[in-house]
Amino acid sequence: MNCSVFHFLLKLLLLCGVLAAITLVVLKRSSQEFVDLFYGKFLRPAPSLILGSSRAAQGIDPSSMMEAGENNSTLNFAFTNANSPYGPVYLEAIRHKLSAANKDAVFILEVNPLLLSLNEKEKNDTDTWRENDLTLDRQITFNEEPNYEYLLRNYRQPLYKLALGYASSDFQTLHSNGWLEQRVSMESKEVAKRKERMLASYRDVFKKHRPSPQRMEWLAKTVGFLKQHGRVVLVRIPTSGEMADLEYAYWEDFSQDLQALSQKHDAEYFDLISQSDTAETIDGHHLSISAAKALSKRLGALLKSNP
Amino acid sequence: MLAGYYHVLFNSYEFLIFFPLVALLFWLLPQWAKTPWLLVASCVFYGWLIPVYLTIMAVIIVVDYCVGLQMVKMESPRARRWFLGISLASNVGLLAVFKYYNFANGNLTALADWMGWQNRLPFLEMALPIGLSFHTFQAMSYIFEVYKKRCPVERNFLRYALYVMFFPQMVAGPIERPQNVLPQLRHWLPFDQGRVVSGLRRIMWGLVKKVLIADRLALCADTIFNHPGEQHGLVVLIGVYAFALQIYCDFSGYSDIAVGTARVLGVRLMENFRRPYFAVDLREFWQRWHISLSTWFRDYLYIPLGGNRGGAWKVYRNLLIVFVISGLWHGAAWTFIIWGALHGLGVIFSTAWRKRFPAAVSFIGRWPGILLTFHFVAVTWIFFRTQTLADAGRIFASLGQWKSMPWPLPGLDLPETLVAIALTLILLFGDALAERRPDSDLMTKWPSGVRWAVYLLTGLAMIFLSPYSGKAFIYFQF
Repeated sequence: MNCSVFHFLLKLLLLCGVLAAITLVVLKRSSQEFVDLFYGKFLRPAPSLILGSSRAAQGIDPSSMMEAGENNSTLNFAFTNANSPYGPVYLEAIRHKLSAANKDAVFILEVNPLLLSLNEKEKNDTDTWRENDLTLDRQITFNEEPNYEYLLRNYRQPLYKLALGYASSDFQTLHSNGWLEQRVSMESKEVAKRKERMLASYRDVFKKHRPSPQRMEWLAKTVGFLKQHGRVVLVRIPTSGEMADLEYAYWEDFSQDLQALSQKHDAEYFDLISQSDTAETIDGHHLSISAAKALSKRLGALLKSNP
Repeated sequence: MLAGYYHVLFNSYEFLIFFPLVALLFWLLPQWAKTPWLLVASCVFYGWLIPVYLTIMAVIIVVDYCVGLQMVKMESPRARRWFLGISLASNVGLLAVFKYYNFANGNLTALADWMGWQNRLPFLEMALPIGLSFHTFQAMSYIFEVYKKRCPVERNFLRYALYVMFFPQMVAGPIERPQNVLPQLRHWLPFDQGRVVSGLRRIMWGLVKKVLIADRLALCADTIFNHPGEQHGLVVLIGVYAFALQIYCDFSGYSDIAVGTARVLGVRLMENFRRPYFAVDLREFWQRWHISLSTWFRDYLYIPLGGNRGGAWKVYRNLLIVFVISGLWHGAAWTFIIWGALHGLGVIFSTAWRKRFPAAVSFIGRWPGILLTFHFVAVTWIFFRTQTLADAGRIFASLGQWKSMPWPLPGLDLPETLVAIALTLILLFGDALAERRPDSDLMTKWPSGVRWAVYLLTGLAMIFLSPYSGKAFIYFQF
């Protein structure tokens, strides 16, 4: 009997081997170009990281920071308010992402009220938090190139689209340093339309969220962990004036609370939200390319001038 | 309910590791060790999600095992009935607490509000254990059969536990009968390559239905059903068709995988589907859809109620009771009760018609009958799919306002629409072929090179065509 089992298994293994070989070859070739908004962040370890939401993903360009004197091995490891609010999932991902031996890194943690809030479906118990079962939670390997696990488990389209080149995009680039460059029309009518939609959506979003002491605790834990590896800077980056007003109405003492937290945990806090009135955004929320580069240079300079 | 957890689902990567390991060791183990091994595997399969569910399973198993042993010692029918009552109380009691309490309490609160009173009963905050309705019904079928002396009592505890917990079918059926499964668990069949390959082919076909078709059509159906009242009639109609095909591929796909998985391990489970959308009337539909549940209700509710005995009105009453309870079995909500009642009325109509015109296949002919039955079933799925009666009302109201045909289909882009249509046509072609030759396995007659090419292409399709979703099977919630 065992002989027939092994004979059968051999044939099955042969079939699986051919399947796996074809899949790996196709995926390796397909993943050379743009895959999606996150894939490039899961390829290599990085000594220094930029963390936070899509506002940081699009708003902080590590190479512009470098021009201002900051080191060049920073990875933008920021995702979205849904995927990467401060909590156990994000902290675990950061642990995986860091090069272990590093002690003199710089960590820029973007903070905004939603990253430190819970929505109406989230309870205080972390099992109910929104980032569970999303990309960072599902991912096990963070530093593989090509990252087959990401492509097979976290790519959000059928893989034939990647293989046939449907994934490539004319209006967005995920740079190898993790910065997401969105090239959209900056014609004033288009921007106004996008802004109107975004603000309407966020008015609704804020109604469904509440500030969370639990999220604040997890931010403190994240800061505590990162302090072991280097310098930690919390940054509240500019957005549109209207969005800043919405945030202020939602969480009036946000800046003071973050100032207090950073002092308590020996971190720095740069509050740049006051520049929102002059910041150029593509949709009332995310900075434009030029504004992102300017902000990144400013951050680089600030880091240099406050060693 | 299932979101937020990793679980050993048939359509998960975990199952790709779990099942080959279980099967390999199973084939290599001696006879005496196979039952304990599969029991351990079943515990891992079920407990992976939320380990505390295993304690609920343990209660069901221990109570019914002990009741069975005691019942056979009793000669007096009265004493046997007492033991039957204990078992039913524990099984139905679990369902009442976990599944129906909050529904009943919600209705009580609404009634109390209406009458100006206050209902102080608290609502319970606990999730319904996955597949509870399935394994309580399977456990009850054992007790009913022992009570009726149609099946010998099972004295081996591990074997009985495996009967209730056998992982291929524990979460969403088929709801088995002890006469079919227990003898197979006593004498495990030796490894047989033909049987294993046939089981794997069945799993492959089930996965195609679930992952490639159901999960893709779900993207279309969800767009309409998650926003009731926001679309015009033609879009809603497409959503209704999409859901009709989605639920068929989802549940029959699950059943194919369950039957195939069990076959690989040497156990032949009952068939749960026989191409139901080819039924000429609603009575035939229920002989083809979720067969294990229909026969369960027939044997343990319809016949004890009187079945076909008595006058026509008594038969119709029995049918209506069975279908309303069947609706409630599916979910604790008025939408399910109405769905069940509508099907009950449809079955009563087709029963009455058959009685009056016994020679007629359907009252309007075969193909029109198939189309009419499909549309009745598809439209009544609206109650099954929507969360509230108000949502169902909005969906029906939308059906009255028609605008132009949406293209690509709602929720899908153009390539995905084309893939969805192509796969649906393959499914219909496969089912039509199987309808003409129900018992033949065409693939066994093909040259091995062609078979290998089909396996390879299907495997590649599973990898490259599957939409990102990882959706749980719809029937897991019951």
